[in-house]
Amino acid sequence: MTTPNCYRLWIGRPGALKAEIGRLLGFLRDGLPSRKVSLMLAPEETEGYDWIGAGSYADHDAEMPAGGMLAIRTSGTTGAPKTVTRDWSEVLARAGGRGEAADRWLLCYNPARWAGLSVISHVLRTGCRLAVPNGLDSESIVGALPQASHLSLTPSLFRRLVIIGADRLAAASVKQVTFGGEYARQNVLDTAKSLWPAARVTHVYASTELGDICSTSDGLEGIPVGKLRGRFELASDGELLIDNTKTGDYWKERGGRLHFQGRREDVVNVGGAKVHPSIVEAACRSISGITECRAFGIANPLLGQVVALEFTGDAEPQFVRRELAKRLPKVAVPVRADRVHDISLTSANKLARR
Amino acid sequence: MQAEEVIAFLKREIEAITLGVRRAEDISDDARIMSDLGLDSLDYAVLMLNGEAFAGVKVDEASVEWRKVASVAELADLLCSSRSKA
Repeated sequence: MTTPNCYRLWIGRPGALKAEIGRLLGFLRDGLPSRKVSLMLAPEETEGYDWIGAGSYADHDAEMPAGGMLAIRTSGTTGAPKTVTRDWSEVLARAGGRGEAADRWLLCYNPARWAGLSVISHVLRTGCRLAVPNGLDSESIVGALPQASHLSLTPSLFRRLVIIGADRLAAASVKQVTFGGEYARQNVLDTAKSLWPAARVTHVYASTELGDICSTSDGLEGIPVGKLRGRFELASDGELLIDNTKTGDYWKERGGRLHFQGRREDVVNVGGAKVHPSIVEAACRSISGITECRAFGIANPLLGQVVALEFTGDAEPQFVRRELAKRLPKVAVPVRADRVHDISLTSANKLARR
Repeated sequence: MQAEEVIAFLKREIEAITLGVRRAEDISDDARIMSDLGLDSLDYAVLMLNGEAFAGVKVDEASVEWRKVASVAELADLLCSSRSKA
């Protein structure tokens, strides 16, 4: 048996994105389908990965997948980083959806992550085009919008793009926008529809471990229960199980739809009461003068943890706390609200949790 | 920082937290924060957090004897005896 060449790709270096994507596409089009090579993709911040190499990696050989396989290193933002391996031909075969040669998908995700690979696999499968920005920062993505007709991005990145360039977004000829990576709340879907009235607005639920789970394009937040019929179960604590696999996500069923509550790792335990930061953030974003926010737990000698908040915008911190007190149970009201200059996103363009 | 300064700050904070129901000038140093003034545990957590920020200290959870920090003066003592953040 011939040992396949195992390549490691480290993607996302500033200024090198277009060249890196070109080489990645070459592997995905030719190398992996022939099963002569395998790939391990690592996000830019992972240490110890060179740009590219072939052959023996004595210290990592046990991790390397067999020929035709693709290994993705997860970000570890919600737990210990782990490696998920997929057969590329299966990934490609499952990359469905509509597509026309004239479609131009803008790459907004790091292609060393599952979300980025989903966009690329869709492009390869449907024969449409991939628009690659100069970098994955917000300005570069807004700058590349005129080249794109289709977008796939996180709600956090979308909010940021709206803040820095709503006019430029509205001027783009967008036919499809797909939200993923995070839960898309109603105001995000509505904003997208107001920017691009003719566009199809979709939100997907996926995970690195389970791949694409379902998508919805009816303009409403949440997943219609019918989309997951026979596949899902809500545990007594609200955790969603898909095909008997725990997702680590908490959802609530309401009005025939599942509504996201939060991630297991993000829950703030306030004296025994569990608070999902996403609920606090959703309430905060409904306050006038708030452009972005992040809720998180901080240690407290009395209660173990309490909720704190950082936000951007011109609202006064005391005003924000007062408004949140009207909208949230007392236990979820941040004990501290700090106005900050910027709220960072992870390299996967999700809100950075602490 | 003097305990008197911290006590005065805590009283002003209690007035703010109770939306003026408890006025700073009417609060005695020995008033018990939860049982006499009606603050709940979350209010107390906010009071302590703001007290830490005012005094520039960080309370060490392991060293707190909770039954000895019931009153305004006792909480002020705890803050004054806690280690500086720096």
